[in-house]
Amino acid sequence: MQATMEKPLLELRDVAKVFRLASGEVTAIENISLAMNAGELVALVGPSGSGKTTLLNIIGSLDRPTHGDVCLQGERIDTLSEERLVRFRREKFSYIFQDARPLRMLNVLENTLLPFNFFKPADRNGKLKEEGIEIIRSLGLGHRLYHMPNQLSGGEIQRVAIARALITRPLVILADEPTANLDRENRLFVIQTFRNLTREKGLTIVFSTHDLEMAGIADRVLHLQDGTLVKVEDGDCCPCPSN
Amino acid sequence: MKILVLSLLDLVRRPRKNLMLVLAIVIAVALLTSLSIVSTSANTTILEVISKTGHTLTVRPVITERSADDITSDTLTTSEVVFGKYIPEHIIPEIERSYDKAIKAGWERKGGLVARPGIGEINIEPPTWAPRLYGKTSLDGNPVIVTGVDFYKEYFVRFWWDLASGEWPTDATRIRQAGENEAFIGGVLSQARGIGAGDTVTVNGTPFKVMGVLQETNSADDYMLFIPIRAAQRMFDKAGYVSLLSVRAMCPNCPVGDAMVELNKTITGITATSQLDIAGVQFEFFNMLYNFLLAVVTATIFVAVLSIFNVVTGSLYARTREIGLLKAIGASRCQVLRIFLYEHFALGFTSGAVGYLVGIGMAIVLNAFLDIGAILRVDSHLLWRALALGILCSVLAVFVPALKLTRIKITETFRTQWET
Repeated sequence: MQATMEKPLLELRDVAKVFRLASGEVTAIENISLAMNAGELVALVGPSGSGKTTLLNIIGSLDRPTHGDVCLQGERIDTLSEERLVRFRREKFSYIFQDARPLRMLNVLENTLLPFNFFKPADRNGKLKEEGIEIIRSLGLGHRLYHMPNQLSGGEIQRVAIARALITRPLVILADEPTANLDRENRLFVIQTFRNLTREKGLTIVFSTHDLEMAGIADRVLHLQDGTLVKVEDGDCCPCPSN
Repeated sequence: MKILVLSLLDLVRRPRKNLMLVLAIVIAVALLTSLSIVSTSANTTILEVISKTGHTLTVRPVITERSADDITSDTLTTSEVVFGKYIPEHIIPEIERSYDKAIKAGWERKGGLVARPGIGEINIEPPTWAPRLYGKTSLDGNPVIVTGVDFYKEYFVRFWWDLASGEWPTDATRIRQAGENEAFIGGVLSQARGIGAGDTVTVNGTPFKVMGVLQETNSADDYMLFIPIRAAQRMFDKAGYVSLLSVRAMCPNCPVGDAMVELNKTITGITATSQLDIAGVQFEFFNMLYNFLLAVVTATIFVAVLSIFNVVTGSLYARTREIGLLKAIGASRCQVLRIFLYEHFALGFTSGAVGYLVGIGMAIVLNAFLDIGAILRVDSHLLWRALALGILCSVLAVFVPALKLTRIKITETFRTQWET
């Protein structure tokens, strides 16, 4: 058997998260260890309250684990200061939330370029707008560039979120239930876009979903139950959807 | 697009969202602005009176309760004009002596008359005493106040007098020797009766040629016909009596207040009043009124700021998801805070400017409806103060809730049920 010598992009070792509430302690996830490679599409599935969102937040450095290590490119990120984390997140991660609507006062292009109001990559000065337009067009929204969010459908809004996530050229995209409020056609569009991005651009994308059909498109499916990783399957475990 | 533009876009594209906030600040700023304009203008108007008449002392016959009763309905007493009570001319020298003594004593106390080596004694020009005799009669069948004056002295004491038409005699001798049948007429009376310079009026059977029409002075003078005092004394059978003496002190910062006290203390049957003191009382009254209203308005603003604070807090919590999103895409706490501070700076600036304009309008209305009669002046500093107040109210109201909200974890912003 030939061992893979490639170092994983993202690694979690014995991670646990305990929330301390007034009513007592609640263990959201425990004993989770996993590794993800660049260019991998990973789905997190499990019932509500199984710890999918908590795990995504910890992977994406939006939350810190109570126990365990989280490493990206071999560097521990769970111990970084808040200030360094902000910079780290800008460079390495992008997020797509289930209900993170675009800002109402900005049009599609402005929403896509929104991250650059807060930081600007030095090597991309002057090309950002063109790149934003290109990404929006690649997502089939070329005719909506200057439309306001209230003129868009649910599927189009989610595409704007994907465009905004891509514009910063992250290493990892984390998507929490990105297809929850979409019809099947749009669900397929979003997940297949994810798959194409991992294949073509080498991005690592982790998304959570209740929808096993969509999870099946992923390279790996992680099953969570009561905060623990109960099963890891290859994506082809589920029937491959047809368009 | 910069953070500032992002903030402004939010304001421009969602104008109704902040309407209540703007309204509260506009009202607060407008109240303070109008109050400030009216009180400052009123005080300035009083100060102008002080500067104009500050060194003038007026001596009138004393009106006791009994003598006030003696004044029949046929006589008239206003704050400026007294009929039916007179000062005998033979006591005028005594009044002048008392006045001179008090002025000299006042100056000595101030050190003004103390001879210093090489400087010598400061010369004080003698004051000018202008007598008046008021009488009521009719002119072409209509009642009129006829005031007998010494034209030369009157012109000197009331140095703010000016002519709307006609002309003063050009030399002092000519004024002093103004003809027994020459007259001047107040501006309002001239308009009311259609009498102009060059006309001849007949009063109690005596014709007078109107030499000039006085410009309006907003005083009782506007309603009077001025004739030589000797003619008036004969006309009203009051030879040897005057109704009033005006004194113009001829030294800067003359201690006329001391002279007023001395005259009231030593001469019986007269009462001396300094215009400076009258204006001073008005000045104090306005200041007291201003301070009272300022306290009321400040309390109102405090309540308004609390309301703004509540409105802003509610509005910010409704934007929790937006804050989470901004932080998730790379905004630092400081940058998120700046968005809200810029927004509220712009809101406060706009509200302050609108409040300033509304305040000017309110001041005009207040001045007219409350008959304050001040000449309104808008100090340029007031605009800066209005803008500063608007910005302060708005930014202070947002600062604490925004600071608190920017501390919230990104994960919590999406877990909560707050809606945008």
